[in-house]
Amino acid sequence: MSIAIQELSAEWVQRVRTLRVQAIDQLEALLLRFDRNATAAGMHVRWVLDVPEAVKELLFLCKEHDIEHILAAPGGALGELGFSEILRTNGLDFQELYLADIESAGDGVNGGQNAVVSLGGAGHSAWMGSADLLVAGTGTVVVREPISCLYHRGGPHRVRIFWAGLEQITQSIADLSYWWPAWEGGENSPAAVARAGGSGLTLVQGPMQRTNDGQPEHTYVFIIDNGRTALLEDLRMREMLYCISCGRCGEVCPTRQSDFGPREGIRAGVVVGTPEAASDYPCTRCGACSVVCPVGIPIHRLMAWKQVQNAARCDQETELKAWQSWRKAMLGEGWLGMFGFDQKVQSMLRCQMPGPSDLWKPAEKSFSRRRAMGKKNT
Amino acid sequence: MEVILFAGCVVDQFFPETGFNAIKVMERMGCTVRIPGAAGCCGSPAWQHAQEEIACEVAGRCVTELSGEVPVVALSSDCSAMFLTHVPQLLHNGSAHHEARAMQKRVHTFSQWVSQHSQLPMGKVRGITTRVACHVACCVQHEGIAQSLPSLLSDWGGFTCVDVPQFSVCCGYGGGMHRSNPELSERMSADKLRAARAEGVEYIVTEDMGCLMQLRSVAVQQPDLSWKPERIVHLADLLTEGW
Ligand code: SF4
Repeated sequence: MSIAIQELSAEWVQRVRTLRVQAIDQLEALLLRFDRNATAAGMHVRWVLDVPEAVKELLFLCKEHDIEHILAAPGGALGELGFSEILRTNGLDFQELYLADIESAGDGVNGGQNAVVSLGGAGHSAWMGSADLLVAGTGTVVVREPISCLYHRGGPHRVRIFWAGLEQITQSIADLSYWWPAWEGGENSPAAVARAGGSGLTLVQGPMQRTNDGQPEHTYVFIIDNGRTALLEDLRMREMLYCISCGRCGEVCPTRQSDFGPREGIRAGVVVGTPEAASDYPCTRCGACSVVCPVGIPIHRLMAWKQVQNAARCDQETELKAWQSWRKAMLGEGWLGMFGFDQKVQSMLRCQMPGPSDLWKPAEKSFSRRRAMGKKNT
Repeated sequence: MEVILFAGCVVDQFFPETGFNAIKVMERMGCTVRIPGAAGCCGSPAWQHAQEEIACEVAGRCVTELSGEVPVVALSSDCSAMFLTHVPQLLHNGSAHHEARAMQKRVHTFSQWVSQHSQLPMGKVRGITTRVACHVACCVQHEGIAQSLPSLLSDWGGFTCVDVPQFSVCCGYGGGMHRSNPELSERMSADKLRAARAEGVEYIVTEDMGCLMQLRSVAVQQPDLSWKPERIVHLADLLTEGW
């Protein structure tokens, strides 16, 4: 349902949009730069094409590093790749932990020099202590800052794996300060959770400061494609790569009934690997989402185009035939009402009208016909 | 002043009286109303049901037929939104695109036209104080099209516009959802009707034929909501009631 949501100025939206457009325009260069820098800093960067490849990598690393207990942060890439299910079916001992309890310290994101994140607030320490692998999605991957480091306190995990969709990259940690206003919306709102997760897991290029407490022996960063390149190539749909996962579109969507919001609706079938991916998002194209999107993504239009793509894939011969005859009538010599197409078109229109089919009675003579015949004197 | 009244296919085939009522209003404002002979549908039904190619052809035909200098008043706001936002995007190639863009400057919603061009306070003259709730279609609200319906009804029409909570939320009609997800779609309309009833609203006024049919159909199907379908009206019908 529609809720009050903070308004963002047009200038601000334009600023965020420009940052995102620039990042996506230079995507390959930024990713390669991140890869080089992170590798030099001692991280292992892996490029993962799709879900099966990601699963293979995860299981391989668990074996390679003798992993017994896993701490997994739900949401983000984990939801996308269905990892909970994979860990479960492979008999791995894991616990899901929302990282929204993250405490941030140090100069924080805006300082840029020493972004320090302390994982696991009160109540999580027992598991934090015994887990030897942390698997988490990451809000943002930042490229530019040369000496920033990110380390986590709160658990001596030997291995960490971060997952990032390849579009989640941005030039500078300072860019993130433009994201914050979009993520405001009340302590427990999805936006606030996204904010905490996103800020907490921002990945900044190395060097890692291995002397700091709690540093893992190995940090892996998996850059996930999973259909994103296809989005990149679709000139309309690539807009979705500008998304900063703020969740505002979902908060105002009048049809949303679960965590699966307009953003996921568009990415479904391309990026999101959930069961709902198969079905169309129930979109009325009202446009409320596009109005609040901090990046100015025309979400409802993308939804309409997606419906067009889906309709083209469906084999609805009868429906298509009906539309063809409608088309013929509409493009006939004169407007339908004057040339006797009424019945065919009326029944076609009636199919598109809400409620039971006998609810709408076609007029005996159409408006244009009556007007043309001059029978009704206005 | 000569004006083209674009009634749209639904009015043409199912609600001709609404078309004639619009003519009455516009003629009273001193307009010479022309009905386009060969442009009857803006392509919206096809577009709403994801038939992009057909929507393009039908909209393209319309744009050609309506070309020229004469202002166009679209009686249903989904037709206005088609011309004002979607058609230039759909016809993204060549002269049709430019024709569609040029046409954007001449297209008006019915409420826009009436509020801009009439000096006659019709409702006030008639002493109407009916409590109405305005249903402004989402395609107007969220596409940046000027919203004239509420101010027209209160300032010019003399009606009491009731501020119904959550009334700006979608009625559930668009995107073919009444077919693909009828339960959800009906629930959205029922919520609106219930809210309006609770505020003592007598008429729900809209200028979108899709929303009008959606709300009326739910009023018919859910009699416990106590909404007479004929109390959900197009602006033109309300303005001319009793003329
Ligand atoms: S698409 Fe939705 S989640 Fe993404 S930036 Fe826009 S409003 Fe936020």
